[in-house]
Amino acid sequence: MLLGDEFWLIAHQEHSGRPRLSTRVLGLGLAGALLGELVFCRSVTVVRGQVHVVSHAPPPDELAHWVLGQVTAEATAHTLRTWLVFLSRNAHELVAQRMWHAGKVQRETSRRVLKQVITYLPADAGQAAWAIARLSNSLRRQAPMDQADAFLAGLALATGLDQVMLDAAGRGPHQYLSHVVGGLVAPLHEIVVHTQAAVGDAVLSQRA
Amino acid sequence: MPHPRTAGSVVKASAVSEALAADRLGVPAVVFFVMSAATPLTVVAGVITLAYAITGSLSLPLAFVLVGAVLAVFAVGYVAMSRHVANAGAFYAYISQGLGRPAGVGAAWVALTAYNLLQVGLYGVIGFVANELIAIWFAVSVPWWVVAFVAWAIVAGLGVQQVDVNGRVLAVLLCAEVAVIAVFSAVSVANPDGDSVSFTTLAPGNIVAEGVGAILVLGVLGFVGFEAATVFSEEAKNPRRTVPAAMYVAVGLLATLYATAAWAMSVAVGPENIAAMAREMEVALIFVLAEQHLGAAVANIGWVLFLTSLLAAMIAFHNITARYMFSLGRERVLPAALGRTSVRTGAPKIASLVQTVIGALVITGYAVGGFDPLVQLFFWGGAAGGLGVLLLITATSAAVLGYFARRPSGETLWRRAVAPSAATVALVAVAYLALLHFAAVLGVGSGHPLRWGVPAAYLLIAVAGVGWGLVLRRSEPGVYASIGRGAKSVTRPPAAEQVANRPAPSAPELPR
Repeated sequence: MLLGDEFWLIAHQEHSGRPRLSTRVLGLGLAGALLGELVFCRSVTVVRGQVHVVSHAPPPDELAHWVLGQVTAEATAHTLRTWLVFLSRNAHELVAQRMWHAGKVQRETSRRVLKQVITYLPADAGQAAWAIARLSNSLRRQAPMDQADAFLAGLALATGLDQVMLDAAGRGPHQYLSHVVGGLVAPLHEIVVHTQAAVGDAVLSQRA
Repeated sequence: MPHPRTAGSVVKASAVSEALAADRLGVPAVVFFVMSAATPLTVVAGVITLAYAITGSLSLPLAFVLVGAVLAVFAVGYVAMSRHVANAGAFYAYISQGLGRPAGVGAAWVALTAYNLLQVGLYGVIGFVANELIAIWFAVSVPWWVVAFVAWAIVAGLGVQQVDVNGRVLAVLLCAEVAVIAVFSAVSVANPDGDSVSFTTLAPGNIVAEGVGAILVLGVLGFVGFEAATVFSEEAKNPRRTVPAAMYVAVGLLATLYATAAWAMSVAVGPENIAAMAREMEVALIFVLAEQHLGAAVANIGWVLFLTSLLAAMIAFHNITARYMFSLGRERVLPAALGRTSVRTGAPKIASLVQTVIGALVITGYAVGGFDPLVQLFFWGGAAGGLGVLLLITATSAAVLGYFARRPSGETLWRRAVAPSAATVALVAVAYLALLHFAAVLGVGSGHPLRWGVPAAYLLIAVAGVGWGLVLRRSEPGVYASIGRGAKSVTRPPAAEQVANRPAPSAPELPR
């Protein structure tokens, strides 16, 4: 499962393809998902907020390979926060492109005043809706979740998407979500909380 | 020509640093931000005229210079410490780290109160100003609270939408405001009362007069908003230079602008007439003066800019208050719901709505009670809020001193001890005078309930906050540990028992 693609589907409306999140928050969530992919490939790990490369073996996915290339190319290790901010700048375009090549989304070009706008629509609305429904069901039933699903649920919590996912769900599922996030392995847990912090700081340093 | 970094460079350029540098803020951007938040025309047309009217003091221009100087010295240690503070835009974060977390909670509650007073106070003056314009253009009069509710609706909408009032729009408005102040002041000085330019209001002798504390509070009021510059320390081009440079430039420019405008007003009508004229015309004073010499069209441009300046100030203070509640919600010092963002817009939704409800209650209360929106809402709100911010700045200055006393490494003696000590002494003196002369700030007799009511309310709120901090220390150690860390409170190093429960990095296998 490509975490970036899954998060992209969770973060967009299945029929209109409109983002559920603001641009800045969506970028941070996708950046967290892309770093999560590298953790799952065992290419990088996160220790006390720093991203370290643990294996140079090329990940099977081209985009993950590119991200790993960016991390390895840096002479000094950067903080997780720096990587989140760096990747958030064009994570949306990168993930959407990958999904387009894989046939998961369709591309639509429309002309607006003065500029061309490209939007991506889920190719299969049912499948797109399933991405969020699956996590929602697990959380509501408080069913056991594997690390990948727990990580996606954690990113949803960090970006505020849990409000959509657990709409009118009551206290239990919300508490279960915190429990699930608490059970993440350390590097994934760090990605979730640093994404959450970056989302909060985006509010505090809004350049109004 | 090859790129200098690619040809024969030993150190490889960092793609990440270069990409992120493009987004970083330079000195001009931060200066614009600080000055927009201070909204100079609101201060000149609103605060300075009413300060002349209510205090009758002749040393207002000097007060701005003096306060500007004290704040510049304060900024030295404040900016130095901001690099070590997780939530660098908020006074209480400094106080938590420098004077202890319970004090931080007390400061946070005082700050919420003070910024709230400043924000809701503006609803009073906008009603008055818009009425003036509506009367000029349509020759009808509407109650002030109708206009106030229109402004309230705009602020409420923008607050929940997290609409960026475009930086360029704010910059253009700011430049226009500064131009209006400069032109109006120049015209005033060119047309002095009695045909001679008087320097009475610049004479240092006046500053020691009775009621000096009053004008110092109002001086501080003019600069409120400058403290938020440190919020950009993580996004500045050069964290060690950009933010301090921007703060000194902004404080210097504001002090010059305010002192000049206040002096020019006194020149135009004569120092002996200024208090009476200001009492008669209130916030209309500078526009009436401009109309005499420049015509109605120019005066009307001034009125419109005053209106936009007020709206900008309202939005700025609404956001400051909402963000305070948001950080406290994230830390769980206040209910966690306040730390929620809107899914679609990323705005601090609940915090913003709470602030909106408070605004509605205040406008309704003043409208129903028939209180004076200009003096009793705008000026009293501003004066009480200004006192609160002054007390916070004073405590923050002491916190900077306390913080660097324990962690002196990495800062020069000037930045960590000399400047913060000097600033703290000066601020304590200013705060003492402000409390001593608070009746004069409000323009009431010494028996008026607000004379001691406002300082007592701050004391009570601070004590309650400290108490809540102590309760948290006992009952919620996790929350207590993250006080003052704002949005970063989630990344705190996990407490001991959480570490024990958390699987070791290698324990559960990640699936292929």
